[in-house]
Amino acid sequence: MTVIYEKSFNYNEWFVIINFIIMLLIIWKLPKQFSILEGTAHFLYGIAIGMFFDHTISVKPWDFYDVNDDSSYQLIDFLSYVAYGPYSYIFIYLYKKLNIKGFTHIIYVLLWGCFSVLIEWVSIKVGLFHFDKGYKMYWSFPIYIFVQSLQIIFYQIIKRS
Amino acid sequence: MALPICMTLTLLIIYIAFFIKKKLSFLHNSIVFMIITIISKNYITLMTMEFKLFKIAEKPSLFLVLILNRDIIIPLLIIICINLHFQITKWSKRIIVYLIIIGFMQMMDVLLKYFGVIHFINWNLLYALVVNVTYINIGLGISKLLFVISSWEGQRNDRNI
Repeated sequence: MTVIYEKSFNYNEWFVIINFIIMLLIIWKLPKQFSILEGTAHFLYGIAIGMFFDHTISVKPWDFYDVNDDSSYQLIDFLSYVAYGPYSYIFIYLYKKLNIKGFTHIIYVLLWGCFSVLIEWVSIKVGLFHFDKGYKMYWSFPIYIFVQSLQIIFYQIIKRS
Repeated sequence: MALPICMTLTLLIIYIAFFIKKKLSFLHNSIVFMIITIISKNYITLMTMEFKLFKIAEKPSLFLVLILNRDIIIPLLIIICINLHFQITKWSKRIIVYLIIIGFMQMMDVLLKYFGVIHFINWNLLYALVVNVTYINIGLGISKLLFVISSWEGQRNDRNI
């Protein structure tokens, strides 16, 4: 059965659209650090990982939470997953720019984990995520630091290949 | 029974994908892999949640089989297929490769149906065949596009030097 939270085009939809546009503009304005394909790969990484988790734990049999206005799959849901792309791009962009090495990896990943949880908290407030089915936000932190660490490994493999 | 079989098949495919001679770089292969996982996730979610053309099992162990097929087996089979496509020059041999890969994908669909991972409602194996052929065509299309972008970027860098 489809759970409906609301039906109007309001904060959550605008949040997804504006957030996506602003992030794309930031990427557009940033001095280029990657080749087109490398940049595309890091952009796609965020989308693929975001979709993996949301299409796995927010659907049955687990169905821990819902995204946007109801529990069905809508176009705005798709766009909200695509909006993960700029974040993963900027994550690795800053990683390269700041020349993160050694133990600073831990600080960098923890800071991004906190930032990701903050964005998630804003998403809950605007009605993008609905954790009414028992999901707790603290579960997201280890997931974020895990996927971000994986992205650093992905970046290093690309660099060496 | 379904999960051990699927895990074994997944490992075998990972081995094959890891050891075959690759014509595409790691970056190219990862982009194709991520795009195929994004498409396969959206395809399954749309078919089950929106169009209700088939139903997926609500038993977690069976759902894990679906995840393995959706996120690892299908994308890796496409990776194997496109790398062999660019390695083999004879069309007759290429067609044999396509037939083997499509045959394997069809076998996976039969297995998923047999073990009750997927219940077809308004769906059948012929439609599944169309989807599997589409995956291969998308994979080939993306890989050709990646070659074009790579050579274009190479030429642009040469001009800048």
